[in-house]
Amino acid sequence: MADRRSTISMTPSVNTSRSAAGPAEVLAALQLLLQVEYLQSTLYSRAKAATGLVPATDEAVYNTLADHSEQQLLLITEAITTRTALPAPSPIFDFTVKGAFPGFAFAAGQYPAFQMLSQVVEDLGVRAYLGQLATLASDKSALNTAVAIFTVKGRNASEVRRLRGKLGWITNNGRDDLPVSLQPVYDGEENVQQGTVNVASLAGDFGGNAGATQAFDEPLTSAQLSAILTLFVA
Amino acid sequence: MRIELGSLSELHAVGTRRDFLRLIGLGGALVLLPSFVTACSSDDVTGLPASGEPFVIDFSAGDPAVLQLAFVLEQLEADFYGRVVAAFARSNFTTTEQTLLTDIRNHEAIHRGFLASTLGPSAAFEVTPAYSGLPFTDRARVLAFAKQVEDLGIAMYNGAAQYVANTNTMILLAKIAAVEGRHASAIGDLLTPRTNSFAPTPFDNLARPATVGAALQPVLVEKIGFVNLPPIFLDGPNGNG
Repeated sequence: MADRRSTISMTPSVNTSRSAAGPAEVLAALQLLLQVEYLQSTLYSRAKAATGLVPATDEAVYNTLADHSEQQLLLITEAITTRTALPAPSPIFDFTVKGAFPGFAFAAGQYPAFQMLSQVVEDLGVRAYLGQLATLASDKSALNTAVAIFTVKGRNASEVRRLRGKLGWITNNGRDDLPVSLQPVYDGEENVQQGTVNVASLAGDFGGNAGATQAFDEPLTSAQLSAILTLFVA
Repeated sequence: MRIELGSLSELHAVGTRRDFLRLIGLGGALVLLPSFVTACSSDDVTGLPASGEPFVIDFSAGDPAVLQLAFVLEQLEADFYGRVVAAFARSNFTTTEQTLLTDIRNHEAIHRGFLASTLGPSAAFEVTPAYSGLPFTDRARVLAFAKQVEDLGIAMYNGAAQYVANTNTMILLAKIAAVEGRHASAIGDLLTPRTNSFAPTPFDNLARPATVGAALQPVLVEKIGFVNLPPIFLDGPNGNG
């Protein structure tokens, strides 16, 4: 073992970073995240206003999600206005997701579909933020705003998944029982190459390849995210 | 949530095996009746907090310093959940909870292995967790400890992101942080099901390295220290880093 009393000096072992993003790129990233926040907060605020959708046992959870998404939407909106830009307006959403959830209208008896929608928008949120962090890195205030929201997305995703009897984490690129049109939300989650390390090779006694994919979430590119968002827009 | 310094050690009513023996009036006499061993789980004690060698993280090294801090956290988490899983036969966790905690153990062991490989043998310094008699068979105590460690890990990753120069490295750490968020949620929900305990606040905390170190010290045998810390820490939305 190395002498722990000495301090450490070493060279970075990973690839050099891409060139820093400018203010325009930072704003574009925030606007994209704003679309995700509109999607989530609209889903939860409409559920909260609906009668008989969420059972009383789960109301505290979904009220928390409605409250969080409202505040996260506000913080991203402020991050945009602080940088003297105009937040893009909210789209009109189609929560049947182009017919993937036929007839979904926040009605009594549609709780299973609503729970599936919660799962997909939260997993999407985690991967959306992860995909924008590199761009936000040039603006530390924006970066801090994003990471503080980002890990709460991870918490929320785990809760809504577990509430419907699924694991709190994503295995391989599995979408569980969600409609096939939502597979792009999960594609890429099967990655096991993390920097210079193939983490599946470390996972023999720890869940194998499945465990290796669960242990890391994966980013979506802006193009992937934009394409997925169009599925939710009327 | 606030970062409560020393809160990890305060979880333990009885500090150490030595304290426990003193408390029950045995002093150094080794008359370990089986019930006493069970009571304090002192056979799991690996050492007193801050009794070991100094362990210094030098931020002049840049990104590797952040990776080293993350490696300390992940070693603690992997070791802790490993002990929890090893104690299942004697503990009061349901089989569903055992499956969940085994998954978390797997993830943390993979995180530990990833950081060890990324740092390389010359920089991946091993640390020894100090549990101060934590009973690994006790559901409530284990979950309370797990919640503290998961929340601390999240605050560490979120607070350190601003110091990572290489964006590829920052993303790799964030990929882990997201899954720590998923863990913290599950642990919180086991403690207080179907409340807001999975995510008590809309924004997670960002903690500066010194705050993380102070919170870690009560559960580390080594004396953790930092040199050449960046002069500026930019707070997150909660303003408490």
